[in-house]
Amino acid sequence: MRVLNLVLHTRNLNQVKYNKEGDLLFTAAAEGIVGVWNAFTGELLGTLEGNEGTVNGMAATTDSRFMITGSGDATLRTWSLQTGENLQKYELGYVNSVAISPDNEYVACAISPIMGFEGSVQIYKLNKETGEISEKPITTLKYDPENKENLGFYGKLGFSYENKYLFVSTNDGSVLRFKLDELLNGEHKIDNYIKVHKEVIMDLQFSPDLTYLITASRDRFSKIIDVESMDLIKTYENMYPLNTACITPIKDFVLMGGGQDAKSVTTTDSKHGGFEIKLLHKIFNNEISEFKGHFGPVVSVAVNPQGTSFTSGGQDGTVRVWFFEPTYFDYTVDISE
Amino acid sequence: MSEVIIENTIEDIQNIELDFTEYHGISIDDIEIETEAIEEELLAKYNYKEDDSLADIDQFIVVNGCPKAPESKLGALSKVINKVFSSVGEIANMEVPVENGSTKGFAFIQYTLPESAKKALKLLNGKQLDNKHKFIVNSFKDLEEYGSPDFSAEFKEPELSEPKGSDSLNNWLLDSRDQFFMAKDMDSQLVWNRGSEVPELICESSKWVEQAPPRFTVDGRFLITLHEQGAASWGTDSMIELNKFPHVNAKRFDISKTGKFLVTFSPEPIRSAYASFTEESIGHNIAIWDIQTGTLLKTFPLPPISNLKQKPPTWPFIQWTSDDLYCARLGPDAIATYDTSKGLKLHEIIKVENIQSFQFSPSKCQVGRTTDNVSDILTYWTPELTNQNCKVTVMEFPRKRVLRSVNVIQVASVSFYWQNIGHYLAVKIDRWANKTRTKISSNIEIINFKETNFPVTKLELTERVLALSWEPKADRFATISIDENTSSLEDTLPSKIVQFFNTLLTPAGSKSWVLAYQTGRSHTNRLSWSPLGRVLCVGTAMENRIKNSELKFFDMDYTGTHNIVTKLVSAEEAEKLQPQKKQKKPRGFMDQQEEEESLSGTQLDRVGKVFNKGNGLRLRELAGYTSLSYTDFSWDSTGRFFSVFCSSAKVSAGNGYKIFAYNGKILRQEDQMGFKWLSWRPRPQVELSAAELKKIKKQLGEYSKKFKEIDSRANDLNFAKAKEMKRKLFNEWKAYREETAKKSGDYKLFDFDPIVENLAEGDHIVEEIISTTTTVVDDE
Repeated sequence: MRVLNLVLHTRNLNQVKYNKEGDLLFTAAAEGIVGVWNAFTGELLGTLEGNEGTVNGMAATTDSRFMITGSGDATLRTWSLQTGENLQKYELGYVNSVAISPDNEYVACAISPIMGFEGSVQIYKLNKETGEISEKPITTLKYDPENKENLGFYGKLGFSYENKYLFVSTNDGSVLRFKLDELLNGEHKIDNYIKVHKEVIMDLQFSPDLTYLITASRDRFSKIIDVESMDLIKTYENMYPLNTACITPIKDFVLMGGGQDAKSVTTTDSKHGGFEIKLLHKIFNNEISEFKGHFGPVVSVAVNPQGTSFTSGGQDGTVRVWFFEPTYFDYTVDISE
Repeated sequence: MSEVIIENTIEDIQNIELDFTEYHGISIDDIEIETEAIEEELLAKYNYKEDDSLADIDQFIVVNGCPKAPESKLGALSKVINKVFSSVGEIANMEVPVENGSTKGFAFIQYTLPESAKKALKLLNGKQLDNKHKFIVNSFKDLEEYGSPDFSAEFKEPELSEPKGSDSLNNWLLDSRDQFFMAKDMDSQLVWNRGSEVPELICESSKWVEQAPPRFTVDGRFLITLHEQGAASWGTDSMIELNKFPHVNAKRFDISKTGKFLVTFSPEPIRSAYASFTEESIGHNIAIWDIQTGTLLKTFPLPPISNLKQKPPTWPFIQWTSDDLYCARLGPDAIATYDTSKGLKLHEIIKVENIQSFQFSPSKCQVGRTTDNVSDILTYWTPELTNQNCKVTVMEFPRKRVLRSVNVIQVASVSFYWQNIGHYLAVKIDRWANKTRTKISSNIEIINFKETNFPVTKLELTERVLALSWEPKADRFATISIDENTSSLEDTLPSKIVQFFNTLLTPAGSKSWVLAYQTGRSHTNRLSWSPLGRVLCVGTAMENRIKNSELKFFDMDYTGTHNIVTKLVSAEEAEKLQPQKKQKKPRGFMDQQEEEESLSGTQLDRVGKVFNKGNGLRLRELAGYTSLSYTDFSWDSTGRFFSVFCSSAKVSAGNGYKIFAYNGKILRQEDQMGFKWLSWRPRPQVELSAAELKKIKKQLGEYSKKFKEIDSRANDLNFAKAKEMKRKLFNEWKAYREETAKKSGDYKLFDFDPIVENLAEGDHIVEEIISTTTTVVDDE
């Protein structure tokens, strides 16, 4: 298996992501730098610099011209990916995650209720031509601790297909669904929700066609939830707490990564921390393979939309691009009568 | 009316509605049903009898033997009876019948609780009121029964109930597979081992793992578990609870050599008489039980420590002879022995001044000229004192004839290691290697019971031996040692070596032991021989500071020419000589050495050391693993499988178990958070004669054919089942995606996987399972 080791970041990674075509790779890390890479050769094309705190979340437009980042320095910034220029900077609060709607019309960000800011989800209008977002949010979904339906504060978010829904995970292990058109009209009603985890959901990623999503939680489980029915479709168990999970295109697999907490890692050998990335069969739930290499917990895993490789970012500050071998593509299971 | 009946009536009413076809279309509320008639019918159907007296007949007792007093003294008499009988519980009602101006000499008492009545029956029956009067307490129910004219006074021999599962205790042996026990969190299971397949569940329970990991008796018949209230034994096909051994707060237990007796130990002495403990047991910590019947045989206190030179007693406190006829415990300057055939009566106290520890042989040893002249052997040692050498004594028991005694000086401690069938005894003597008494080196004195006069072979080693393990039924052994000149036990990670000893015949024709091979430095802490011998597992289990486990399988009788010993010898020689050019070989032929190297796949352990060309030892490493993470390991009793597990009780991560074939190949591994324990169910000793065994060995081919057939049938079935499961999962997923496609309307889904495409076209899919891809990347 060909593996690229991308050297840039000095501190732990927060998110790795591909653009829509899968030729660009973005990496966001705690020192505040976003790296932009050639996803096939591992060549560093440029960096987005300016964030003064850890970059928690990022999202690129589908035409790969602009990027939005959310940072621990309490800012939401817009960038030109062509020039690396910082276009806008809004001070909102500790941004936990950022998402752009599939039609590039809206930007959503989740703000954690820490550092004196109110917890909320804010939605902005995005200008497709200039890459700039509206000055004021179209709507602000406040985190209300009094509301019984508000099950813990907001963590990760994502849009489903055709701009239909906005999904928000909460730190108590629930996934909330809002109808996007209702939200834009200022109706902040939770459309549906499901509590699937016992602990905080660390990652929420969608299937390639955005019709189902996968969660990864510190409770060691990863679950697939249907977007329309909000039914729990699949459950995958890991030996160690999970940080990230994603669904592979082309083949029916899921990738999961995580590992023991940094504080308990010191008492164990790196071999026993569970830092391997696991490849499981999505339908049959059996482990197919594991990828060893990170010597700290795996923070984020993203699969190339072309399905030929995936990238992982670790708490050890390393980024690895893994290219699947031919056996991966030949894998089939006999289920004939 | 009981609730059950009411429920039934409602249900039946609904059923009746369905039967009333002429009322079809009319709702139940509109139909008038004569519920009373239905009720009556149902009452008759369920044979229900109204019972006004209720079930509190148990509350009543009848007291006979009361004084017959004149009516005028009725009040005083009632008071007296009330006083006596209210001591066991609250009295609801009391009636002292009077006839012709005098009480009739009995009383009826109703307690508020049936339990009080039971107590009264137990405690007050036969109680003396005064010299003349004695209460005789009967339950009202008994009186009614015995008093009825139907009661026959004729003696009828009671029918003996079948003893609990006595014949099904051994049923599990009919299967050729092995059972093992495993526990995860609070749940535990007994399963059939199926090698690489998922073990087949026999039964499970959440009660088995409480105070300590459970253990099987030596013959595998009973599973002994330890709970807060004491121990319990389980057995038969479905593992039902057979007996309880109530010993509150018991923390440890031990099973005697043949599995007849159970020893429980609680650090807290027994405070009051309860269950089977009587006043005599108060203050005792140790209890001995008969496993089969569950009866308490004897209790013991912890031995007093009178003399400071004596070490505190170590577990197990009770030792057994090989046939369980005698047991013994260590006391100050003496061994007390007890006869189990006489209800653990004190047999004899063997006085030995300053005795440190003792041990019985694991089986009877030949002590005379003829093979039937056998006896148990007792070994013990006394320490070095100012005008006395350290003395190791080996004596017959119970005859107390001293067979051997060894005197040594400069001794730190002595340990005994018996070969499992009692042919050899290795006495390990740790001696001070320097005058400042900081370093220890070990002597091993091997007493050979196979030869007349029990010759002793002495091995003086420069290392300190930490553990010694004999090959079962054979004469070789291996040790874990530490060289105290270069490493110390106080080191963070003391490095140890494993030494293999082989036997040689001396010119005089007797056996002698020689060091044959020693491994390089490692942190080895476990040795385990296959119960069949030949294969030795050398392992490093996770404990204290050791975070990295290792495991090696050694074959001691490798028949090929290129074993570790010859490899090392030739490597040494090659270094001395000029490197020779390799001769060209004809194509298609592989050098035997190459072939073997490619077969074994293991690398030459160049740090190992060979002595005297291996002294005839043909050692070969079968398999080696360097990062397994396990805390315990064990062989199954047949020597076919080997298991390791990582217990959550010791390590928080990486819990689970692995099963190996005897050659070190991993068959099955399962990672389970919270995995706690795995133990194999032992099999009883084979009771076949040598001739019968020989016959079986002859027909082994036929047997294996039969078993192979069974195996392949089972495999086919499992394979079909797994396939069926996969097909079901796949169809579920397919249905889910089709549903999504319907719901999402015009939106185009993309499912790429060829499985989906192939199935849609109705093609068969070729099975191909890829190997696990493991890539380790160096970080530069």
